Amino acid sequence: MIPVAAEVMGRIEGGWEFVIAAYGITWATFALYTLSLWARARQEES
Amino acid sequence: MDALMSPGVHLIGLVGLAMAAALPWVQNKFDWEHPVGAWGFLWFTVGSALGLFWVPKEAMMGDVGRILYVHVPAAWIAMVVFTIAFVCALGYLFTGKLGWDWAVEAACEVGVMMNALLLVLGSIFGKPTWNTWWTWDPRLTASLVMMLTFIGVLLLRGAVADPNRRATWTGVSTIVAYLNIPITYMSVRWWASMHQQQSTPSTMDDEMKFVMRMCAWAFLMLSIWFMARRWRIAKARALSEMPEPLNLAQEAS
Repeated sequence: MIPVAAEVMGRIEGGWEFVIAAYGITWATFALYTLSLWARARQEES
Repeated sequence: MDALMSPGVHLIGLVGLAMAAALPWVQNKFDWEHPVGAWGFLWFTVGSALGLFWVPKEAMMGDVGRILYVHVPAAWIAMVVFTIAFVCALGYLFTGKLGWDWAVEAACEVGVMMNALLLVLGSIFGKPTWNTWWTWDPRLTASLVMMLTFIGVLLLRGAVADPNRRATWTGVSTIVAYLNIPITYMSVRWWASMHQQQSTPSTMDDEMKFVMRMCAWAFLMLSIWFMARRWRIAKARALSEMPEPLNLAQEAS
C-alpha cells in the first residue's frame, strides 16, 4: 500500500546558527540600507 | 492573555504612526518620518530580543522556528510596500504629478530590498527544515519573479531620460509587475507546494502572535521611514534635473 500522507514525528534540535544568521542578516540589511540612504542624501545635498 | 496582548501590540504600533504626522512640534523640529523610524527601530530591537529569548520553541521546528519572526514580516511588508508602489503608480497615471512618481521609485526600491531579505531568510529557514537552501517550489519561484520584475521596473526607469516619459513607463510597468503579487500570495493554495499555507491566529500561541505582530509593525514602520527618506532623494534628484522655473513650480505643487 502506498501511503498518501506521512506524519512527521519529533522536533528539530539545535539550529541556533541559522537563527543567529537570520537575525544578523536582517539587522545588517537594515543598517546597510540606512547607510546607503544617508550617503545618497548627502550626495544630493552637495 | 491574547485578549490583552493583541490589541496592545496594534495600539502601540498605531500610536507610533499617529505621532509621526499628528504632533506639530515634530513637524517643526524634524522631518515627520524620523519618529516613525525611531519607533520602528525600538520596536524591532524589543521584537528581536523577544523572538530570540522569550518566545517558546515551535512545536516541530524547535529553536529554528524563531526565524519566523523575521521571515514572515519581511514577506508581509514586501507585499504591502509593493501595494503602495501600485497605488502610487495609479496616482501618477491619473494626476500626472511627479510626487507620485517619486513615491513609486521609493516604494519599488524598498520593496526589492525587503523581497531580497525575504528570499535570503527563506533560504536560511529552508536548510534546517527542508534540507535545501533553494528549490523551484511555486511559492519560492513566484517570490523570486516578484523581486526580478520590480528590479526590471527600476532598470527600465534608469534607462529613460525624459522625466514625464520615465514616470509614465514606471507607472505602467509597476502595475504590470504588481499582477504577480496575488499569484505569489495564492501560490501555496493553487499549486502543490512545500511551503506551508497561510497560518491563522488560531494555530499560534499567544506569545508567538504577540512577537509576530510586534515585528510586523516594526518592519512596517522602518519601511515607511525608508520610503520617506528615499522619496526625498528622488525628489532632490528630479528637481536638480529640471530647469529653474519648472523646479520651483514642482516644489510648490
